[in-house]
Amino acid sequence: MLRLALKMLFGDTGKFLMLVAGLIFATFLMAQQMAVFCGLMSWTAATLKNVPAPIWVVESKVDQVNETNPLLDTDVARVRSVDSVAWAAPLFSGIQRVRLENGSFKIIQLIGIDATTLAGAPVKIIEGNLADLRLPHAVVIDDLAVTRLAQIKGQPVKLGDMFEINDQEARVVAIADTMKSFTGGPYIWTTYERALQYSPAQRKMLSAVLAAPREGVSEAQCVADIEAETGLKAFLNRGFASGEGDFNYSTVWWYIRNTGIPFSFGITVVIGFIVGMAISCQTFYSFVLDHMKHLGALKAMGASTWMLCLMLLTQAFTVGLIGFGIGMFFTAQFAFPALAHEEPPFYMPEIVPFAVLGVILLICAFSALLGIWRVARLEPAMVFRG
Amino acid sequence: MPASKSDATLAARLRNVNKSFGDGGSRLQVLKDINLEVRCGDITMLVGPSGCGKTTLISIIAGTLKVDDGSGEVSIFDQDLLKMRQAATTKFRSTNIGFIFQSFNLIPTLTCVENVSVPLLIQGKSTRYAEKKAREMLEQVGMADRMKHRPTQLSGGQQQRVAIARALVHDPRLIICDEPTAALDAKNGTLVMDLFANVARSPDRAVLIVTHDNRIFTHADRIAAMDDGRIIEVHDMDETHPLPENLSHGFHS
Repeated sequence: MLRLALKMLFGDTGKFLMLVAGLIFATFLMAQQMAVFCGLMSWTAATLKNVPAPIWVVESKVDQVNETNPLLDTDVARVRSVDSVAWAAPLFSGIQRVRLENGSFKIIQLIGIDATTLAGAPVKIIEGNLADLRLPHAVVIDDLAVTRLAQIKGQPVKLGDMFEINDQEARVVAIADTMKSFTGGPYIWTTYERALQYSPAQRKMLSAVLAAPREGVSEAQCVADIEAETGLKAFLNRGFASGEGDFNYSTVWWYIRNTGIPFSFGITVVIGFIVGMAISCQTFYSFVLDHMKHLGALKAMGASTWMLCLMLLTQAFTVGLIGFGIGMFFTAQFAFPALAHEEPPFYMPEIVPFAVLGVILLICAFSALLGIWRVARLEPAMVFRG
Repeated sequence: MPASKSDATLAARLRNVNKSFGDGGSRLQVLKDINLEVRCGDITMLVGPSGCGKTTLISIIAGTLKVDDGSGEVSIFDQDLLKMRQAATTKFRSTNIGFIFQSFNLIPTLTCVENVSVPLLIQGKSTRYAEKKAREMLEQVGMADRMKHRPTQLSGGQQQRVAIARALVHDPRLIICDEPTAALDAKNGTLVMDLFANVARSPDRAVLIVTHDNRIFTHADRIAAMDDGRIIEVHDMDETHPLPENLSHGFHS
C-alpha cells in the first residue's frame, strides 16, 4: 500500500512539484542562512585562528578578541611567573592604515608578535620565509593583502614590495594563508617592537599575552592558575563553537548579544520556515482533499484509518526528504564557490543539516497531520453519496 | 435434488433497522423498520426513487454506517455487524465485501493492474501475488490489453470493467454495487451488466445492486423496492413471477 501511496503522490505531478519546490526553498533558505551566519560568526574570531596560541591572556573586562583593553608590558612577566605556564609572549593587535605608493590608504589588522619565539605567527606560509620577519622593516602579509594592497588592480603584491604604515617603511618578506577577518581588513604580521613603532604611542600598548601550559598540566588548569595568580582573564583557544571558557565562544556570544546580526539572520530563517510550512501544508492538504474520494473508497474497501495515515505520512516524509536533499544540493552549490573565495562567509557546523532536516520533517509531519485529521474523520459511507 | 431458494445461505439479514440523521427538530428518519434478506447465489436489486434510503441501506449493510442506537439487527454471513468493533468491521469488510461504485472511484495515478490489486494489498498480500491475481481478473473482464493503462485512458465502460475486476479480485462473498450503470450509456450499461452478472454470479456469493436503471432489472433474481425509508415490496424474479408493472418502468432521480 505504501508503494501505491507513493505512486499516488508522484502521479499528481503539479502538487508533487509544488510541495518539493516549497521544501527546497525552505531547506535552502534555512541551511544557507544558518551557514552564512555561522561563517560570519567564525569571522569574528578569525584573529584567534590566525594568531594561534593555546591560551590568550587579556585584561579582566575583555569579552571578545576584536576589542582588547591594553595591558601593562610587565603583565607578560607576571604570566610567565605562573608555575603551570611553559611560555608566554607579548602580542599587539590593532587596526592601522597602510599607505600605498600611489598615495591611497587601506585598513589593515596589524599583529605584532614576539621576535624571538615568533609565537602567534601564521601557521601556513605560502610564499617567503617566516624567519625573515626578524629583518628590518619586514612584514608578513596574508593572501587577502596580496590583492587588497595592490597598487594597480591585477598586479598583486609580491615578496619585496614596499608600503608605509604610519609613515614608516614596511617590506613584504612572506605571504600567509589566513582566514578572513570580521572587519574585512587583511592581516599583517610584524615583530612586537616594530608594531609599537607602526602604531601611535599610548601609555599601555600590550593587547594580550599568548601562553601555553607546561607539559603535564592541562590547558584548563593553566588558565585557572593564570587567572588566580595575575587577576587577568585567561581564555582557551580551541576553535569555533568549542564551548564555554574558550575565547572563540566568548567572542561569538559577544556578537550574538551585542549586535543585530542573529536577529537579522534569524528572521530570514523563520521566513524560510514559515514559507515552507505554508506552501507544504496548503499544498498537501489540497492534495489530500483531491484524493478524499479515493481515500474514502480505500476505507470502504477495508483499509484501516491507521493504514491511510501511514500512507499520508509516507507521502509527506518522502516529499520532505526529496525537498531536503535537493535543497541541500543547492546549498552546496552556493557553498563551494563561497568556500573557495572565502566570500560570502560560509561555515556549516555538523548540527546545521540535522537541524534543518528536523525542521523540514516537522513541517512534513504537520502537513500530514492536517490530512490525517481529515482522513480520521472521513466516513467510508461518503463514497456511496456520489 | 437442488436446494430451493429459501434454503440458500443468507448473506445479509436485516431486522427492524432504523436510521436517522440530525438531532431534535432537524432529525430525519431515512430508514424505517427495514427487514431484508439477501441470499447467496442471488443478484438482489434495491430499487426506488431518489432519497428513499437505498444508499443509506447499502452503507449499513457494508458496515460503513451505524444504525440508530438500540435499533434492530444487521447480520452479514451470521456475523452481527452491530456488535463488532470498528477495527473488526473494517477487517471483515476487506475480506468479505467487494464494492462497485457509481463513479468507479479508480485511483487515476495507478494503472489498471495496480487499481485492481488494491483489495488484496489492503489484506496485506504481497504486491507480486496481488498483481498476478489482478491480471487474471482483468483477463476475465476482457481488459487484458489495458493492464498498464491508467483509468483516464479508458472509456466509462472500460473503467467500470476495471472496477468490477477490483470488486471480485479478492473473491468476496458479498458484492455491493452502487448504481453500476449510472455513468454509462445504454449500450455500455447493458454490456457491463451482462459481463458483471456472468463473472460475479456464484452459488456462494451474494450480489446487492442499488439501481434506478430498469434495463438491468432482467439480471435480478430478487428486486426489493423501497419508498420513503421502507421496503415496500420484495419480488422474486423467475419465469412464474414476471416483473410487475409498477417496477418495469423503473425509477428516475
